[in-house]
Amino acid sequence: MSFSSEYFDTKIETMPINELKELQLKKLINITRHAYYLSPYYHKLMSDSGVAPEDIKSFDDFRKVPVFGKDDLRAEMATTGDPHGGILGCSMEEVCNTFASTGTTGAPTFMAYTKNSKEEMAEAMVRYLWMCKARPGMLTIFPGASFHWYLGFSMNALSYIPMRLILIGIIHPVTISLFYDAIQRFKPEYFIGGVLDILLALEDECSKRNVEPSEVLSCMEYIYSPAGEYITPETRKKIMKWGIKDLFETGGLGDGIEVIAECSEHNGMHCWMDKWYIELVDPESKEPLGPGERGEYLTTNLFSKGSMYVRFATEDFAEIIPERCNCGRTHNRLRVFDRVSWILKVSNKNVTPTEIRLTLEKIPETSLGAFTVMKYDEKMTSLKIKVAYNPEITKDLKELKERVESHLKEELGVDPEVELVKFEDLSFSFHKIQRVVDLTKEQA
Amino acid sequence: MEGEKILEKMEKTFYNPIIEKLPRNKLKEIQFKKLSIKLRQIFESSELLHKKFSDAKIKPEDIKSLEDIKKIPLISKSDVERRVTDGDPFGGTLCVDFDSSIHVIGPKFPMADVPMYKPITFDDLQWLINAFTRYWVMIGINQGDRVLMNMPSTHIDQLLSTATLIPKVTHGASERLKCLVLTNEGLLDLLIPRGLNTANYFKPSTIFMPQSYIATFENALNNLKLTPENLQLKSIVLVDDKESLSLTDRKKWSEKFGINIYSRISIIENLFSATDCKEINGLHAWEDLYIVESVDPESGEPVSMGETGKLTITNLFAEAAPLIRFVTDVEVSLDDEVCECGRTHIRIFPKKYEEMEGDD
Repeated sequence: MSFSSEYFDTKIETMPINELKELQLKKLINITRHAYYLSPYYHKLMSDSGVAPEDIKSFDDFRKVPVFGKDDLRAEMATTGDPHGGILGCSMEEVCNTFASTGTTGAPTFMAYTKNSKEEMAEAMVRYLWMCKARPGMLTIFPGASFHWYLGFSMNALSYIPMRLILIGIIHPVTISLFYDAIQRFKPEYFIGGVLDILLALEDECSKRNVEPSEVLSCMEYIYSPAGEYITPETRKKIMKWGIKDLFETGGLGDGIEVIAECSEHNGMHCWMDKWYIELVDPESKEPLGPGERGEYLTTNLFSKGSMYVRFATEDFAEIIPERCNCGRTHNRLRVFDRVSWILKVSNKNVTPTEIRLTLEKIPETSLGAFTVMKYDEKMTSLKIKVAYNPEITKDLKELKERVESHLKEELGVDPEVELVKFEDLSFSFHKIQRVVDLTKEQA
Repeated sequence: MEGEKILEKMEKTFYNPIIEKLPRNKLKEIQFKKLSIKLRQIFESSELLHKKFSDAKIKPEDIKSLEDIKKIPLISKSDVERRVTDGDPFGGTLCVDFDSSIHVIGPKFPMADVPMYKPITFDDLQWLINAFTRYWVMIGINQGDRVLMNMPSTHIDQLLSTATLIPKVTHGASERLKCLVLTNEGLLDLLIPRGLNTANYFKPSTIFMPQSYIATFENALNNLKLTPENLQLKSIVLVDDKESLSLTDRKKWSEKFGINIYSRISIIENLFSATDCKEINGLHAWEDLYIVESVDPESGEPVSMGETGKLTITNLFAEAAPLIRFVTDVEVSLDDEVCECGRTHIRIFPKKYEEMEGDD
């Protein structure tokens, strides 16, 4: 591996897909066996459904393993008082670090690492960071939040490469003055923690001091966004104007100890197949889907023997991009849309707000991607939607409405009823656009 | 009964027994040797030190004994700040190439007018982890214990407790002692309930937190209807960079919670810390790693043992930016009598440490 090479580990990153799948299956069988014999929760779950690890010899067989979700985990934690809910695959003495999840959807859950899973995770992170152009010796700004499973572990990976770290603040605009001072003083080349909130706050800080962002921020070559809010194409263009070479977005899950990241193609996020096994299922029935369909994704962590995740329902709606990526990596790519709880049912199809936004962003007059869906029923026959248009470049409202409707129908396969409105006339909750207005609740 | 005997023995252990109980005359020999070496190492590379020596017309060779240390002019925070404002982010203290693998610890929040950035190398971290582990054993953290670190994420203590910064080649304090470390973001005190939720599941024996959070901690306990007993908590370490709690306050919290309250002073500018031992009779500082003085800032002369002066620290181990005779604005008195715990290293008494309510 040379410093100028594209891949950190060429062999694994460009492994032919058949070989990769064989490797994945071996690991899958191994981890399932480990979970069955060493983890109380999985033992009970699998034996109750009559599944023995010896029965699992192929990916199809693996579907016999029952699915479980975050709520099951929380219920187990509440009844047994065990912080790990019985999914620990090792003894407590072997656990060296425990992190808590952010707890946005309820009580936080805990992720335990053993010495081995720490090293495996660091290896996965190093490959991602290298993919996002992190190189040895780069001066990097790195925020705190060592309590968090993602950042607490990135420090590990960063020292492997190795990068020179400046440890500053936390990922929250409240510490933005610390970030600004460090960037302006040290001129770092890499910035980890560039989530949308922070980037916008940085821009704000520059304008408060009457300084052009490009003057101060152009020293940064690459920005890495650890699992934050989606950065729209408009915002991305604005940030690139600062003089940045590239901006990488990543995603991940605490429960599942999983990280996914995009490469320089910016077309979906890679997920290393020797570390995680991803499946797509129908959000309600948990049955496998046909090819090309979008659904909830299940993750199986192939290396973690601390907190084990086998067929864990992530509550995220996604699709797997089948084509091989232009970057040369053969590992599958995911495009994650929304949380399953935000899915709208239109004529037996599942539609999510993110899919709608991505479609609208492609049309110049509606490129802001601002809209509000009027959810008039749990099961709708048509998608009633208010879409904001840009009056400066719109010539014919009727023509635009037809064009928007035909795009939506083509991309999402549903019948839309579009009402074109000015941006201010959308529904707002404080300063945020309400993506979905639930009329069913208001009627009740 | 066997288990109790083992625990009793463990309670009296030392992490580095020879050094921690070394007779004072031998400690001073080590200090002088390290000081001479350090001065020679950094005289050319540390701009600030070189200037201070030139202004006082002295050279490293002129320091022929530990007493000669008072010939060395004091370095104050404003000396460094002046140079930071002039453009050198480390204020003339950096002794190694910035391109070598050093990490930089960022300033405290909320940011001061002139922020202080502290560079550290891998070896600096190793020394600090060793010192930190000695403190853990000193306050009775044993194998298999759980420790909740509730400090700001960029605080040095968070970095030393577990090997998240440099894995594989070094172990943090928790790995050395086979403890489980739980971390919570301690930058803002409103995040304490989150830490308590974790504590409720894992029952840590010790919690490290900034001194100013103790009242918020009590409120959070009450709101969540928890007690230190539910949490199986044995001690809390309160960390500050200027002052300790007064004796009255310490007794008050200790009795209220039914646990030990240990104080800890942590001065990042010179990678220094000092912590209570079980006797809670002064904060021990490791004298094989630091020279600790209490000085009259006007004259630069050390005050007599037991008298109050400004805490002045000389760092004997750091590579990246060691400071010689760094004077702080922490008011302390010192005691060099051997402690009841058996350790011979000096004890620091911050001004309020022995204050009782009603004292004049």
